[in-house]
Amino acid sequence: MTLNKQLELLLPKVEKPARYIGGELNTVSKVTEEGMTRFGFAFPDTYELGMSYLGLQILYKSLNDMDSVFCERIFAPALDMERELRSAGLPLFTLETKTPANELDLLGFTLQYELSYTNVLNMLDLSRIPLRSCDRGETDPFILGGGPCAFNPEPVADFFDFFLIGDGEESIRQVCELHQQWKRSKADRNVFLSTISSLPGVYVPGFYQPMYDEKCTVSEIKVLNDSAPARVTKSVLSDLNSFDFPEAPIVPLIEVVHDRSVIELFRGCTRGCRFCQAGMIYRPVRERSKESILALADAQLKSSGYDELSLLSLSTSDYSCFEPLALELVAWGRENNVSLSLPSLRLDSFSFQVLQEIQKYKKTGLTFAPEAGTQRLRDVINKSITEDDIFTGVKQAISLGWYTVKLYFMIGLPTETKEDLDGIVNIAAEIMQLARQGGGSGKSNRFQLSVSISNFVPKAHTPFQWVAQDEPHVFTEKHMYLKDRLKKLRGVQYQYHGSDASRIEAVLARGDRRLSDVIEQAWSLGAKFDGWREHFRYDLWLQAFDATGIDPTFYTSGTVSTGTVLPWNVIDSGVTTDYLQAEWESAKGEVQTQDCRLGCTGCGINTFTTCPMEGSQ
Amino acid sequence: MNRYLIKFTKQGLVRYTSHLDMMRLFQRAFKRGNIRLAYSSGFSPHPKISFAHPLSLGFTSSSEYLEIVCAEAGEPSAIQEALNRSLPHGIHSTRCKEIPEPGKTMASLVRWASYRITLPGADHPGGQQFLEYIDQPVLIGKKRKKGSKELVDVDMKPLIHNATVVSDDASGLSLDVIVSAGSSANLNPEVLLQSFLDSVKRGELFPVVQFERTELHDETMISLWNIFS
Ligand code: SF4
Repeated sequence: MTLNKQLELLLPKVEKPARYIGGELNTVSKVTEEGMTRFGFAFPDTYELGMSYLGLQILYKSLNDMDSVFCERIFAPALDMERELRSAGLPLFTLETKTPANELDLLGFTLQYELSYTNVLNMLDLSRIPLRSCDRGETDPFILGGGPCAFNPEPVADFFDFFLIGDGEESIRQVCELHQQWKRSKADRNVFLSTISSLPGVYVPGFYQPMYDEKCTVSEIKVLNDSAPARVTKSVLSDLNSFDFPEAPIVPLIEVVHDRSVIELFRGCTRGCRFCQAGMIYRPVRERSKESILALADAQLKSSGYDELSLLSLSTSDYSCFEPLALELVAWGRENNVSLSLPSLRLDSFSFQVLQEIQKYKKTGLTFAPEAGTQRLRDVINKSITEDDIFTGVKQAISLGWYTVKLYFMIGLPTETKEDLDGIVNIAAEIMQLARQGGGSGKSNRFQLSVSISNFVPKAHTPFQWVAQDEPHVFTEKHMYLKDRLKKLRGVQYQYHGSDASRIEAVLARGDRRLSDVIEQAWSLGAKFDGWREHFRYDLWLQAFDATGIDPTFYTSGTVSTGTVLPWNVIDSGVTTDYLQAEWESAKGEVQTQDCRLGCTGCGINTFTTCPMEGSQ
Repeated sequence: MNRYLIKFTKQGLVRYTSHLDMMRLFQRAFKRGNIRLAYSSGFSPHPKISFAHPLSLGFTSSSEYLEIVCAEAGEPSAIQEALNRSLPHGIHSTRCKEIPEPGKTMASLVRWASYRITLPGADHPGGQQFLEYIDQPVLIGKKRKKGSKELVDVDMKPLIHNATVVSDDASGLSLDVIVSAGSSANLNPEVLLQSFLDSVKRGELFPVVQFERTELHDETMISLWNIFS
């Protein structure tokens, strides 16, 4: 029986079988030929999450546009499907042709969040591919990783043959070309790795060896291969407009998390929030032209039939021709019966004008992300929103008929005190006060405020890469402190993240190579889908730390960052350590750094690529 | 005006899409094919599109029906072509015609549904066994109560119009049944087959059974397609 037939027998037994069938509109099929690169794009979470991720569509197109490459998709099977696969003795497979993953040439995992690492191991295991790079043989696929977590790949370094750092759409093509040359040459695995290690953005962890001092911090990173550079600079796609963006995205057959057409507005961010890794590693800002966006909107509509379009960026309102673009898109949407969704808007009067138009029938609620409860702490984290901005925005929202508002805060930020927590409560109370005053028509009773609290996780390549994270019990105390006060405010809902999961995330975010044993141990004890509250098992992680003799506090306390070099020192994000250090000093001094659209603040990215923002306004 | 009846087939792995998925999928296909549907008026307008009868997850069909109202008049053949260019693999429109409006909805006319049930392979109960089973005066099936996991007993006998054995050999057992369908009385053939297999102690075969819908009929057994001809 073919794998396809065998899989068909499993489908009636699992939930949402359409996750595993492929065959969606705009998927690619190719006649496979000898000499071709068979690529598997692996997303270490469910189909519904993976298919909502824009990077998948971009890379799928970029690879399949090459005649010599066939890229297929692989997702983490849900628990029921995993059970069925294991009991039937079937390997993990691609959706397009139901090819076993271990028959591919390259298997690329996107690493979007640290808590997906155990899923990576589980998928390798289900594919019958040795977990560790050093155990793989000539017939095994090369395992590569990319995405934001690849900026500190050390905790998973032993499981990957190489990483692509930075923008992947161009560099992945180069890798595939070299792969075909290597295949023809019939040389061994190491030759391929050695060849690609000199490409910009390629990090082959096997060619580097960290040395530790008696405190277990990294004292030096030895380079073991002549072609591998001392530091790997990230790849940068310098002009978004010069690279073909998906005009015919894959349209899922079942409902996924974000079920809509998506166009990337720009990459990068100039605001410089000090906790934000995305804001540092995706520099510089590169915008897609208005013409290109309008043309893509049309093309995607024709090829997908989606009735919703969303623009993606870290901060939509910062787009330099936002007003004309928004007006044109609103008109276009009206004409074509397509609703627009504009996330992360700064709520000024123009935004309200647009929102009123696009949410005429269905007001979905407004969000504000002050992140911290007081101006002092917002100065520390460099978040430029003021209380005045929030209250003016809320007042306007209420008067225009919105009655759900969501606030995002983070707790455990450096220098935080009780006063900052009280600040969160005060903002919520003030908003409820405004709602009571502004209503009148009885609608104010319906006004709902939801306060969402996340736990601060210090990330590599940010000004806060040296600081400590709160212990889980401290987070929990703070949650209770806020809960006690917020529950007294009628109409306020309160949500928070699990403290234990945030701790594991923090360990992995600044981890070194010693953590690979912990991750493997946790996985073998049964940890998977750690990003899902209902599946996360802290006890298994604690057992794994115990069994490997590694203390998680070493990482969360920031001790890990006190060595001669940082564990992720080989990865060069383009933002200099001096800049990050200066930003950390400013944070301690409670001094804000301006948005660098208003004038360059010297992050260093312009020393190896053109920064279009440098003094743009 | 501009009301059309579309007949289509659903084959292959796409049978694992649900009724809701199909609704979304067709709406997108119309949009993609640039066929503008009429919208209901009111606070949250929705496109005028509806299926005659939902098809269970996992069933194939050679005879599904969809009715739509378009915003502007069009040639049925042009609508069918545009739709076929826009549908994913496995779903294909075979016919399309204009039908009078206003009228009863297709869904309200459906009374009976025909299914072809196949147990592939040599190892299966005999066709005779099935006919004997069906012949009993009372046939108790286990039906899931709406909105809960609780199973309740139903007498399937009055819900079965007809049952025949199409083939019974080493390649498999193939049955044709006509059972109640619609809002007043409905029998999912899965319930019938599960009860039959349980009665002959072959319940383990259930996962390999294939179900294909072959027709939908009104109360006089006329196929939906022929109602308006
Ligand atoms: S080089 Fe200057 S303008 Fe460009 S991102 Fe860095 S700080 Fe901002």
